Amino acid sequence: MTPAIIQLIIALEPAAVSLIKDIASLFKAHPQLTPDMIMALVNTIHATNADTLATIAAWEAAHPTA
Amino acid sequence: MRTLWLAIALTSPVALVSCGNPATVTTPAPPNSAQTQTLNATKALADAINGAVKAAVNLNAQGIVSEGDTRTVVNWGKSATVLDDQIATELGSADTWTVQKQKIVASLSGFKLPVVTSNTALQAALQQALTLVQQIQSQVTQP
Repeated sequence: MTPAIIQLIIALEPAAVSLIKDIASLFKAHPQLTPDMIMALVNTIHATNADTLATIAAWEAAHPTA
Repeated sequence: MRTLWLAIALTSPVALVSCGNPATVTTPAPPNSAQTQTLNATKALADAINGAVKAAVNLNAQGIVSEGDTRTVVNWGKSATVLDDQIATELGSADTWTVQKQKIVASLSGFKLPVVTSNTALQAALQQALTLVQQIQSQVTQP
């Protein structure tokens, strides 16, 4: 490794570190879900509720009211 | 030899950064937004309703809970899933958080817990649903 390469790394490293920190802090400062993640969670909720209603329908079919 | 050690000492931080070493970011993540917390609580509520209904049905099948109590839980489960679906749909809508909060508060006003005293496990499952509704209520009534 030549001294010139070392100098280049020294020159670039602070910028690289701060850039990575900026990107990481950008994500950490906005922990809200992305629209895709929100819709995925909303669909999961609907699926869980559909499963609940299917359980209810099956029980009601087996236990009809008089 | 001294030059070699100097080179290693200077380049090792670069290697660590390029490997994505988590030590470069030590700031703890801030808490989730109220909207995200509400959505998570709405998912937990869907699970709690599902758990309470299945518990009632299973306990009824085992002869532990009466058909009358099971029907009470099942009827509540139908209205509770509709409410939970409404909240989830609203949270997935393009409305602003302010508008979402207003609509969710209005939906929650109709939430009531059934009174089933015949089984403590079933009571606990229903109580969990109430706790989650209170969590959602707390999030959407904050300014």
